Amino acid sequence: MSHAGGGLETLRRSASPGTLKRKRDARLSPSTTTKSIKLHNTLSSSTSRQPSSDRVDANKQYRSPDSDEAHPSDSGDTSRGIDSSPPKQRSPTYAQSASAMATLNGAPHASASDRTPEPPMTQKERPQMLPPPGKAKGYRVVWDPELDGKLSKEERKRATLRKRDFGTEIYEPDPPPDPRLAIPGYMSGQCRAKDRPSKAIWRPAPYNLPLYKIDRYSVGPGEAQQVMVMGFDPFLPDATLRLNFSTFGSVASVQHKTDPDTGSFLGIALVKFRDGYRDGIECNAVESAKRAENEFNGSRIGLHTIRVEVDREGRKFKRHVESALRKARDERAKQRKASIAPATVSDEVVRPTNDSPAPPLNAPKGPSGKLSKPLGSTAPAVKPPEGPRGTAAAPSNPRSSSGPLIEVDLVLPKLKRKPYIHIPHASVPVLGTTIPHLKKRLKAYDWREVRLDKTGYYVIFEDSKRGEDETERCYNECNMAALFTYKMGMECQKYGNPDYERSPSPERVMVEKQNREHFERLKLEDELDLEIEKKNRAANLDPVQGALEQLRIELRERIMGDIKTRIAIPIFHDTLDPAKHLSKRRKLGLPDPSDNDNKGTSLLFNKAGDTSPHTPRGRHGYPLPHAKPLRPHDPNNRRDRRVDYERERIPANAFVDERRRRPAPGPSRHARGLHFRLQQMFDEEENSDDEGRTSLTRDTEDQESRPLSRTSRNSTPFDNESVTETPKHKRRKVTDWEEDEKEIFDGLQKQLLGHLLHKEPEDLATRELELVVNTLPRSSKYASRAKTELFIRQRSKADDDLFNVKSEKNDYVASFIDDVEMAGRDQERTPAPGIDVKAVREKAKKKRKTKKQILEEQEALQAGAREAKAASKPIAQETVTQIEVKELELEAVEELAHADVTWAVTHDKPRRTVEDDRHLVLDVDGWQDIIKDNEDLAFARRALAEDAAYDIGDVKLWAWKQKEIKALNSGALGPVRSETGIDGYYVANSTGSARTEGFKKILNEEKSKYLPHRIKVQKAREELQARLAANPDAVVETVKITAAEKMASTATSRSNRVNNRRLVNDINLQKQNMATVNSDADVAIRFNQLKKRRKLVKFDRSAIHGWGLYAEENIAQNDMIIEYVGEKVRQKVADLREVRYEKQGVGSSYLFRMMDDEIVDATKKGGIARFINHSCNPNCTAKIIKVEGTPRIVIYGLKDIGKNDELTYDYKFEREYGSTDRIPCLCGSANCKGFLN
Amino acid sequence: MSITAIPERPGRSPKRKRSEDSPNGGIPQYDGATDGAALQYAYDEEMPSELQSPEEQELDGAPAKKQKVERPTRLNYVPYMTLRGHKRGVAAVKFSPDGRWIASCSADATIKIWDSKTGALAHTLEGHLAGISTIAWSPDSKVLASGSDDKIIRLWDISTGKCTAAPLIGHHNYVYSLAFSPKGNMLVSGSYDEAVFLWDVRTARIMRSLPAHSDPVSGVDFVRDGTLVASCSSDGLIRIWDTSTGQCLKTLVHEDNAPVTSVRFSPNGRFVLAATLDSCVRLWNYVEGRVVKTYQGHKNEKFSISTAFGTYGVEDDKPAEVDGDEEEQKRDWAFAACGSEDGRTVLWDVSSKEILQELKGHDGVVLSVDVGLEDQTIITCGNDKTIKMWKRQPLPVTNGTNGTNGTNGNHEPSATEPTAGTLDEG
Repeated sequence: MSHAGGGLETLRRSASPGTLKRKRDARLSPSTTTKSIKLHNTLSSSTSRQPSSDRVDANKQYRSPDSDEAHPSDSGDTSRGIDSSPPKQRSPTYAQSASAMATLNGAPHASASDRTPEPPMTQKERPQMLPPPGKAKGYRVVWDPELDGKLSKEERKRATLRKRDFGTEIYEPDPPPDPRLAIPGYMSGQCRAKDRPSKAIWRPAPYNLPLYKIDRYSVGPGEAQQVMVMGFDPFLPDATLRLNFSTFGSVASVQHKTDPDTGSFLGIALVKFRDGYRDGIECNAVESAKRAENEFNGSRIGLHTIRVEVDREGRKFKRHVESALRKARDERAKQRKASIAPATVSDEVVRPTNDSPAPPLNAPKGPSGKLSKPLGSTAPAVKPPEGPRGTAAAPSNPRSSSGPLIEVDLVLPKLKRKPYIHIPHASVPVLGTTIPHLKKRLKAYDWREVRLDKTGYYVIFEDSKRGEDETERCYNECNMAALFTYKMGMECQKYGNPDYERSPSPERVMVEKQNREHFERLKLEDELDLEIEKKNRAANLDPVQGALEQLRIELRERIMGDIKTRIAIPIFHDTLDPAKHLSKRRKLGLPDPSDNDNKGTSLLFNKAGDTSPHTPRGRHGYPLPHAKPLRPHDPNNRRDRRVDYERERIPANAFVDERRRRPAPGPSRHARGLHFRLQQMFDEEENSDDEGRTSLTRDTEDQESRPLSRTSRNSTPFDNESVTETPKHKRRKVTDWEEDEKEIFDGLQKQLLGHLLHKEPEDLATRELELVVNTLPRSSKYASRAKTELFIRQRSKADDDLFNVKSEKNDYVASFIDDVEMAGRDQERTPAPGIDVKAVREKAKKKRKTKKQILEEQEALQAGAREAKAASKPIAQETVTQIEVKELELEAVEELAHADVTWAVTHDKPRRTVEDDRHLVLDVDGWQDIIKDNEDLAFARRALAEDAAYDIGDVKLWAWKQKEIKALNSGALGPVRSETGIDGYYVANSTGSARTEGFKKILNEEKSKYLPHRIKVQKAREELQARLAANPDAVVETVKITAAEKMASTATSRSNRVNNRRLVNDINLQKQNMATVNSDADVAIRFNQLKKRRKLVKFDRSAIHGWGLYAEENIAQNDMIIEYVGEKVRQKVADLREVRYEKQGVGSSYLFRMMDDEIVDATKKGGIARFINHSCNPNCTAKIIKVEGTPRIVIYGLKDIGKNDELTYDYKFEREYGSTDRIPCLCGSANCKGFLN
Repeated sequence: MSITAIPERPGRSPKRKRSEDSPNGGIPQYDGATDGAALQYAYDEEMPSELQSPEEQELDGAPAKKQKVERPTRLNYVPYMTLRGHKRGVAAVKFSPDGRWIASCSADATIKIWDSKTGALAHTLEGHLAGISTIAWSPDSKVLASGSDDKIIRLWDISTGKCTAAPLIGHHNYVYSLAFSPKGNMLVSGSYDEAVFLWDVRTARIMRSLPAHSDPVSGVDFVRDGTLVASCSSDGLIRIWDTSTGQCLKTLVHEDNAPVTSVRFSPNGRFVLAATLDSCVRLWNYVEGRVVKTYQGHKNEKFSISTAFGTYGVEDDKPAEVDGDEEEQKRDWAFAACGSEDGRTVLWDVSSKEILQELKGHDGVVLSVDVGLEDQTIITCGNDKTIKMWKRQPLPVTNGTNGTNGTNGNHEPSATEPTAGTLDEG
């Protein structure tokens, strides 16, 4: 079914009787709405006639054969789903819905007029089984050629069936008599057959079913147990009301509503009964409520006739309250308006106009005349919604309040469709007192109510046919009849307010109202937020802050701008400079427009030792080895690193020294495959800008291309030195460094590093670099940079050594020894770099040796090491022991290395064969990981040779155990990057374990470091203090906020409910007590308070001292929390006990001084209130109140206390300044005085 | 409450007195302080009965026969072997419940399992990152729990020497004491973080946390049926907890409020033996919350020294002295043992408070004592890194001289109680 079909369905349904609402629903749902519009548009032109709806329905139900023929497109269209033009018969439905649409679209009158002539009964007509009169019901064959034997075959074929329609004749058949009427006694209900009792009675008219009885099987709320009472004096005390109603049964509660805005009583109450015993007789709450309604409705309380209605679920009550509130609100609004324009009011008083509620001058001076005048002048100010208040104000005039007074707002718009008769003020003056007379006058007619506003009287009738008739009758008979001296010029509106446009359905009204309310609420909240915001701003209005904020914003903008214009743009410009891409161009074989210019420089470069791969090689096409370190190395270039890393992760390559395999010089660069070049290119491009540049450009552009912001750094030793003293290539390197740093550098480290980099003697620099490496934290960026630099230097030096370019071996060895020493010194922490350096260096050195030589050397070294070890006797140096371990492990490692290492030479830039993970923890696994082969081992051994070996017995076993322990505790096998240790708080015992250490008193500060509950509080406290120190205002602010939060939290619904319940119970109890023993009421209340108003509390460990008491619910300010219970003793006894307790070591004092000589001792016998700790910023207070003549200690909330907050009060000890035994206070509040006494 | 803290006067043999008075609840007349006597009576009535076999209990009711049994006033444990191997002080030593093994834990973060017969080292359990203060055997002797300064409790499989997969992690400071429940399903641990945790051994989770004390918990123990847990702390309190509800049933405080360093239920479960740092070991009737006995004579002011119960009887090789009645020969008495900071280990008779023997041999503190199966062996360990095993020997027949046995340094009683010695000999 297409969408149109769906729409049809909906509409068809909407045509069913009595579904105005559903129709609206359909209209409201967007898809059908649009559809119906469309349908209407397509159809409205063709359908001008409006057949009655029963006809439509009939057609819908019944399809005559020719109706099929008449609308062949019907089903087809719907099934095809294109531009569905539905059957024409349905048009009225669509028209109707379309008119409803029109209502929405702003032409409401049309629909109203459309609807009014439509009799409502037609809607209720059921679809007919029979076709409408006048249509053929069928046909009868009168002659069939096939059956005619006389005809020949030919003729038979040719001849057509002769048929005759029937049912076309219109006649009014008498409906067949109801067969049931034949049953004797059917009409009288006496027809039941004897054998089966039947309830079938002929009902000629609908009748009301009796209300269902609520019995024990019924679900839902039971019968009403409460009555709504209104009309009484709002100032009537609850007690009186209760008393009144308690004659019918025991009253559970009286809920007398107040206006939430003004707090005034509305005079509407809900009285709830409960099952109970009265005078020994059981009285049912339901019965009570019923009785109250029956007997009390219409009777009086005081001078007021009250209305009592059973109200099962309090809905009536709610409704009335709502209306009363609305009225009150309107009134207030009016009053406000009136006060704004008092002039007009006074005008009206002087010269009562038509609009004035005041009576005309010629009006009879009724009994309320006096009243109405002030009423007029002060207008609605005194007018209470229900009138009773007015009486309270003027009790001498009860009658004036008995009926409704002149309504402030016009009645007419409220009347809607109710039939009414209007008596304009012109014919009968508007006077509240007239109403009773008028009522009396019209008592022959069945009116519902008489209302009065300034335009006149409205006699309102029932909203039904009967009401309409009644209206007409009244009009006919009473129009222009006399009322006192006036003539009632009536205006009959039996169809209700002529101007009334049918209001939207109640549902929609509701929805709209809800929406509006929602919207208003949102608005209100927004406003509130704004208010709070404003208040907050006002509270911490700090012009300096504001200015700072402003400045900050501006500065940021400026800085961003500067960065853009001064840094970013030059860099971009730089990068795009064609001169910089020479090398690339050359590599790609692109002609260079300025080739000639650059040739010289590049040549120059080669001499200077530029090592970029695409520049001409040194000997054998090799990069000049000593020039390597001059390559800008960017340790921060992650991509580059990753590439390296990945290369090394291939296991086969793990220990590769590429140079070993092919000691002969590799083929020169140009002979390599193209793919290689490609790779080169990528490598190059992956590098940073700097690498793409030639050093010359760097040199030349160095000064001016450096961003201005760097000038500040010129003050560091960095540049001053380098520019003046260092040779050119060194200076370049410096710039590299500088260029590399994009981040702001830690001053000291930077200086240190910078300083080192420019050390003239290489060895010194290297050594100091190592120092840097060792001192800096491993994770530091600078450390890694320094390491890199160190490595580069060392490698270059090693290479130099190898080729005897610069220094002799002696130097090298000396520095090496230094290294070793240093490594030994802080080997506990960072032995890695030293070892690594050595290993690498060693490799470089041995590059040219044959394998055999290597082995020989290793063996020699090992032997030496062994000797050394043997010589040195066990001294506790744990790291040394690891040499032995390494030996073993390295055997295995070596085997592995020999087995699958493929030797190769690096052809591009030199790479490390192994990337040492400097974050490894150097336990057994770590060593194993970091020492890759025999030379590493040899050097490690040499490094540790000075330290004596530890006696660890079986090395393998020892190593295995170490690993096991580590695996057990860290949960990981293999090398780890974090030290396996004890998490959290741990202080090692000097003897090894707690038990061998013996007992020591643990100080509180120490305990605060590991006791969980203390840590929590301690943290909070420290945070607070830190913030206090940093920014006192902010803390105050946060304190405020938390206080506000707490305030909010205390107002949770649950606590409200609890409080309400408590309150009600209390009131009840108090009342009962008052009733019985009036004299002791006060005592009773206090006693009750102590007993009943206790809050839920619990005790738990406290950070302040030992145990503490905690709230288990939100406690409001000034609420009683708990009573301090204990033995009451005299001062002397207390003193004795105190001494005794102290001796016994009862760590806490539970003595509470109540009076001078009365002390409550809760130590041995007492309640948990004794656990409440002291705080200098308490949230509770202890009060001593007298109950039954004896003083009691009661703890009250000093502020709102949130759930799980610790309760504290100020112990108020006497201050003992200078005393030796002052008790330190640990309350942790911001204003802590430090001591309790 | 006044408990006589004065050591028993020489010459009085409470045992004898009891055997005269105890039948059927007569109040002893001969004791100095009346309440002290009552206590003693109460104790005498209850205490040894559990340590005896049922038939002996029946015999208890027959005073006439019992009179003939003389309680030995001395014990004769001699050094049997010394186990060395720990690199630092040995914090605790325990016999396995089946008597086969001795487990010792040390500040060097290792646990060693020794064969109790031969003294051979069976396993060295390593895995803790810090010194180990306490160990506990599971009742089936297959699992050993150890509590270390690294805040972790580990369970070790004795057969493999491996740590079970899941350590018990949850304490916030050093784990200081441990005890297995008699069924082996629960473990109670006391820690420096002032908490007592009940662990479910199988799941390695905390079942219950008992907010117990305001100072480090120095000792915990399970009663023999597992329904109660005792904990003690250096805040001076001993608390008795209901295992199932976690409620504190009783708090025992002595007036002096000295830090309590170890707590142990008596084998019959009616008493609690607690060592305090005022150099006293007290026996509490925890139901009534009073001290029944106070044992003194050792030095304990700093270290947490564990205590042990044992029984002793008249040796088989001296049947003549006790009338030759076989059942009478099996008559057992209880003794309590505790180490001392001067290197001794002191054994007291539980009811008379007499010092039965002082085992000398350690240098420095004796941290832990345990009495083996059949009470024939005692093991002690101390800060001198050694574990010593003592074997019971028949009392020397020599007349009242102590010099015969170098280790038997029971000077005090022997010097003042020559009669006791003679009594032994009949």
